[in-house]
Order: sequence, then C-alpha cells, then structure tokens
Amino acid sequence: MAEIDHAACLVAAELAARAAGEEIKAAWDAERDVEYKGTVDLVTATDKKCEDLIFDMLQSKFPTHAFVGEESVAAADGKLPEIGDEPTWFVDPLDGTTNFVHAFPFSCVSIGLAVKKKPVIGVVFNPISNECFTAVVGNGARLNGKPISVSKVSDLGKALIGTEIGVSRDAATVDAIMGRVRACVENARSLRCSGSCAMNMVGVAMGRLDGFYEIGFGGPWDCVGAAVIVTEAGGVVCDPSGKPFELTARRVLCGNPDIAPALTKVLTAIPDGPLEPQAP
Amino acid sequence: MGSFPEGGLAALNQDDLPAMRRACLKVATDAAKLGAAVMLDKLGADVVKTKANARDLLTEVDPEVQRIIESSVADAFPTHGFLGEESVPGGWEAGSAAIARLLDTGPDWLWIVDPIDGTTNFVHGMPLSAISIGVAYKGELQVGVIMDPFAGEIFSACLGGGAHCNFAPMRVGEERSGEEAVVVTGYGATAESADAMLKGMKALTDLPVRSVRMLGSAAIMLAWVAAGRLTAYFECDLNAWDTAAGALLVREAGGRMTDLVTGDEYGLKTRAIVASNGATHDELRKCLVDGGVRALADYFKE
Repeated sequence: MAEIDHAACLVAAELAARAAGEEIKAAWDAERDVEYKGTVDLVTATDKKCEDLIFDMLQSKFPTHAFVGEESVAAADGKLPEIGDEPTWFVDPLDGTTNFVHAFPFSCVSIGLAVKKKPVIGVVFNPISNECFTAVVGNGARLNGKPISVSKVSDLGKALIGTEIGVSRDAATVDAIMGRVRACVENARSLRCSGSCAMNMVGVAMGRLDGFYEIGFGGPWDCVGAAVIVTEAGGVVCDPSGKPFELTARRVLCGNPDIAPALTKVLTAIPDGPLEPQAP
Repeated sequence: MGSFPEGGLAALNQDDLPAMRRACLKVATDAAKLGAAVMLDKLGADVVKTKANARDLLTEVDPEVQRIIESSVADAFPTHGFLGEESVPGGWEAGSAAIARLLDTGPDWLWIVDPIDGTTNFVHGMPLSAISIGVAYKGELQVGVIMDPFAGEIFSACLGGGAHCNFAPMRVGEERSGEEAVVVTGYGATAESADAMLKGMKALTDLPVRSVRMLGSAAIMLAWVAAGRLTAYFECDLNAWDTAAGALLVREAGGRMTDLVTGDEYGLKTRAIVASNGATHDELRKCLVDGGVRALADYFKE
C-alpha cells in the first residue's frame, strides 16, 4: 500500500468541509425542507447534497480510497460496509441534524480518515460559529489554525461532562441512559447535552468540556475525525468500558488524561442495556 | 426609541407605562452591552469563591457585571428597586424570601438581574452564558433583555410589543406535539433537584419527545424557546433573576410559561417552570407531572 500523504489529505478534507459548510450556511436561513427518517431522526436535503459534494471532492483526489458516509449507509438500509485496512474516509455531512432543523446553532460537518482502522486525520467544521477543528496524527490539533489542548481539570467532581440522550426508546436502553446520567450527577460537576457527538468531542479537545461519552450514536462518521482531534489535543479516546476505541462500535468516551479514566470507572458501574451497542 | 424629557429618565411620569417601557428597554439594552464587553474580556476568569453549593460557581466577573448594571439603573432611575443574583445568598429559601420581600414592600418598579446566567459554562469557556435583565411594575413584567455576548445576540421584549432577536421580530417554534419537540432542562445540583431532573428526562424519553438537551443556562434556554430553536424548557427550581426576562420573551414570542406543577401562569414568585411554544405546553407539562416531577420546595414539605 502506498504511503498516505497526510498533509494533502488534510488540505483536501478541510476544503471539502468548508465547501459543505457553505451549503449549510446558505440553507441555515432559507426555508427548511424536512423529511422524516424514522420517528425521531431527521434528514434534510442539505445533508444529502453535502455528502455528495464531499465525496466528489475527495474521490477525485483519492480515487483508490474507500468512502463511508452517513447518508449512503442510511440509503443502504443502515448496513455498514466491511471496513478494511485501506484508507477509508468517514463523512457526516451534517452532524446534529435535529439541531439544524430547529435552527439551533450546534451542527457541523465531520470528516475523518482511518488507515488500518486507526483514525489519522480529522476535520470538524461548524459553519454557523465558523469554527474549524483540524488534526493530523502526530502533528497536534488546531482550531482555525491555532493549537488547542484539552483542559487541566483533574478531579471528576470539578468536571463538566457532555453526553447525549440517544434516540433509542426501549425501556432497558432508557434505564441504562438514565443510570449513566445519574452516575454523572453524583460524581461530576455538571452535565451538558447539546445534540452533536462531533461538536461535543471537539469541545473536549479545546477544554470546553472535560469529558464526553455516548453509547449508541449513528456510526463511525460521527467520531472518527473528532477522535484524532481529541487525541492530538492531548486527550484520551477509548470505549466507555475502558477498552481501546473501536471504529465501528458506536460507542465512545473521551476526556483529558485524568478525567477519561475517572469517568470510565463511574460509568462501568452501570450495566449497558441489552439492545445498546456492546463493548468490543 | 423616541426622545426623553429634559430632566433625564427620572423625570418621566413613572406611571406612563408605554414611555417607561421604552426608557427601561434602552437602559437595559445599554447596560447589557456594557456587561457583555466585560464578559468577553474575562472569559475563563478564575473562580474566586463558591456559594452554598460547590457547584454554584461565582467568578470575579459576576459581581463586576452586576455593579455595571446596578449603577446604570441607579443613574437612570434612582427610585427603582433592584434585585441582583449576586446580592442574595445561595439556596432556594433565600431566593424565595428576597423576591417576596421586594414584591410585598419594595418600590413599584423592580429590576431583576442575573449578571451571568450559566456561570459553570462561563468558567469552563463553554460559550453558553448570558446577562438576564427583567423589569417589573407592581409585580408585572414590562421589559425583558437577555444578552448572549458569545453569539452576539440580544433578545428583547416589551409587554405587548412582541419579542425580538437583534431587534428583528422572533416567534416560538411551530412544533405541534411532544413527538416533534426538542425539550431542554436544567442540571440538578442537589439530590432533590437531580431527582426531579431525572424523572423529567425519563418521562420525556418515554413519551417520546424528539430530543432532550441540557445547555446549562436558564436565560439562554428561555431565549431559545422564544426564538423557536427549542420547543420547551422545564426546571423544578429557579429564582426570579433566572426567569423574569425569559418569561416575557417567551410570552411575547407567542409561547407560554406556567408553574410546572399547578399550571398557573408564571409570576415572579414561580420557581418550578415549564416554558414552551404553547402548542405543546399541556401535553409536555402533563407528561412531566405524571412522571413524578415536583417542585424542589415540595421535597421539603413532608
């Protein structure tokens, strides 16, 4: 396999994210054309348009790479293709879709590249706040070009934690979600839910949050890019069980190096629901 | 904005409500802009003291912003009363007593101010905190201003004059049912308020609503309900300075705000609240009450 030119990949990813971001920004104030996807999840015309745009831009540069996008997987009845060792791009054209539909300004474009199933490049762009988070493995994380790092809060009792109350609605899953929220209430300073996995993770990377976890989000496109950004900002990314992060598990926990293990310890006391994605 | 009399704002007839509303809106807006400049300057300032609950953080900038607003009000309207979050000890009992005393025995005009709502966010550099200024006449809200310095948004309303975001009219969202609703709640910092929060989240998730969020600033959440970005907001215990400005914004944007438990219309003594776009109000409030959510004060009545 040929060497990957990380710098070229980052430039292409950022250009694609910004091009999609322009589409999103243009749609932000325009009339919203919404169709339902299930009962609680939403998709917009912008979402599809942006995924096509990003795929076209990246495929023309990297024709041998593999591509996995939220929209194309949804179109294939939610079936994730086999992820191999070849360079694979994971694209969420619009993470935080419900937020977007409600004009709630926490939505972003999320693009990540994994090689041999390890995340190596990440771009997360919020076109509303004009914040562009980027990272290349081994080269640090940046916000609009300036280096960022995770927070220094070392005591879970003083930590601000992010999570999401997922869209699964069976009773055991709800119990597991509420159990984890209660564990945070009892052990952390405060909890925030703002509706975008990628925005939460980059919030950890720049210290707005000290930790974040989510079990049962949409797919790897939500977290591959942001995982690189958190790691390169000096943070830890793992499975909520404390095991190594797994691309396709739909489970993630991240935090600064003190908070991530402390949060893992508190959350592992709560059993996962049987219908939740299980630890690798 | 119109012109003001020779003797300054204090020379206005204090019972001419339309003129007073215009004058108070101008003073509140100007003071909020001054306060916002300080917040932007000091973002991330170190925490200097803690109140009744270790989670209830104050920074040096909190009292500074209150001083700026308080002196703007005192300059313009020396006879008006002022209730600021910074001047009241922590805990729900002190908060209830402070507003009750002012409503019962204070001046006709009362300014109710939270210099920084969403202090934990502020301290963590999370850009979700705001200045909240409510102005009431004989206990009835006349003017509300919520300033979000980080998004550069100022939400304002005058009684009977509609609600505005950056001076453009705004309306609540058009969601018709709980299933379409994005509902937010506050974070329970004590065991009792956490119990109410968790019961509420569980009831909403079972309904189900479209999504549940927690943003960490009552003022932002109320302003965003008014702006149609959120469908509804509930919390089991808030002080008047958290809710006064937002309550007027929500109402003037076409929404509703009531007592969570009784369903009575919101007043300045109401501590457990549901604010919504109106169309979803009864369904969501019933869901919360049926789910066992209570006012914080009710936990201490047994």
